[in-house]
Amino acid sequence: MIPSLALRKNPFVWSVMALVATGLATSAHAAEGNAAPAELFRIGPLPVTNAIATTWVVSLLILMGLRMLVGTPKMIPGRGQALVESALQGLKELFEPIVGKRAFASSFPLLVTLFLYIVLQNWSGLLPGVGTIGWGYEADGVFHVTKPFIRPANSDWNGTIALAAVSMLVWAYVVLRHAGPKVILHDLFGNKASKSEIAAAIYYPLSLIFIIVGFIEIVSIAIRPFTLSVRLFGNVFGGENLLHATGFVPPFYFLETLVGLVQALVFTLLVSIYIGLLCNHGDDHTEEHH
Amino acid sequence: MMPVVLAAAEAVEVAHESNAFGVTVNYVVMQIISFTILAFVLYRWGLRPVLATMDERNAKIADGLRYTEEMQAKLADAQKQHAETIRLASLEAQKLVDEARAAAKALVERETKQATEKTQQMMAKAQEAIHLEHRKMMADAREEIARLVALTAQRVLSRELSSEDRRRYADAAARELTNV
Repeated sequence: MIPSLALRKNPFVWSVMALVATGLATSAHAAEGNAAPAELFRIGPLPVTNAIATTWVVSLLILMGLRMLVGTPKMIPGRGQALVESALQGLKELFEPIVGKRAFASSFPLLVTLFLYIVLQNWSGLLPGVGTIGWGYEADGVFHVTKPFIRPANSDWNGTIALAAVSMLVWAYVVLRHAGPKVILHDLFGNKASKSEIAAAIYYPLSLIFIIVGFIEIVSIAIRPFTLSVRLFGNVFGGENLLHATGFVPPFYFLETLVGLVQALVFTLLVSIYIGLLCNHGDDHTEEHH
Repeated sequence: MMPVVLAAAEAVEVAHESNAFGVTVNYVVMQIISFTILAFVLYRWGLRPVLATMDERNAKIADGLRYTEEMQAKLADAQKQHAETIRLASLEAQKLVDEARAAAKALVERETKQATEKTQQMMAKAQEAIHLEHRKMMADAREEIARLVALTAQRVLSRELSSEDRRRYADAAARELTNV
């Protein structure tokens, strides 16, 4: 009697039970490894898929959440504003040493938005009903979801390609603005060895090697959008399929919570590293000279 | 573990199908538009005001700290100046006290000297007056004694003395009295 009462009063237990029940009811054959998003309707020529619908919902939640927490920012912050400020301060302390002081102001808005967006999109996939409720068919007494109403944006490759594309566009803008073509060309193809310390017989062949390495580096840069998007998509899509396949077992569920956070960090840190590789050259030296 | 392996194998198989992941330019464009709008709105109305408030607060704190340091430096200067002023005032006061003491001492000495001189002068005058009084008294006494001597001699002799006799007796008495 007493345990059942405690069970009824404990919201955590109810939440876990609801998750497991939702998962068991619809997950066993829910997504069936279907990676393609389902188109819900169109706005003119632009399609709205179930992943895009989730994007909008999560975006609205981010904006409303921030509005609720902060309101009009005040010099003496309330609890919500203090929470947001401490999170921003933490992200600032994380990204500023990587991207460098010069490029920080230009890149910070993108990095913060990327982190918030990715982590909340990843976690949105763990909510009951996301990716598990939708149109489908029933076979052998089991309902197979073929077209979920909503699905996490990052389990749709289109979403992660979009994130990688925006990131690389901003990367190109920040790098051109703060490093400039001369620094970029030198960083890619220039001989980084010191001419005064190395014999000419070694220095000039080294220049040729650096030029070849520069072309390899260009290939590496060119595939960054692909690697960024595939890494995030693969982890989230794989995680979602894992949860569906295992029936939302709590250990995997909490593991995916952690993966959602780590993947957001990895994506954002990689973008900041790409910016920092070209913009964070000798910031300290420049400051010392100034 | 088995379901995980099966799910992975199934995913790989599906990936090999043509466009199994459903990558479509329109979807990507729509996602780019969605994310760009979110990033713009979030930055314009969410992050920028918070970051501006944080910067403003940090600037105010920095200004406050700088002002405190300036005030501490000014306070130290003021304390130093105050101590210097007090030291100079003490020296000046000591100098004034010394001068006042010296002036007072000189005044006392001068007044004492003047009083002494005046006293001496008064004593000298008094002595001179006493001396004069004494001489006058002695002269009067001699004159009276001479008259009495003459009168006594007239009584003793029982005759009227002439003016010459009276003068002679008086002179004799005066000579005798002078030696007294």
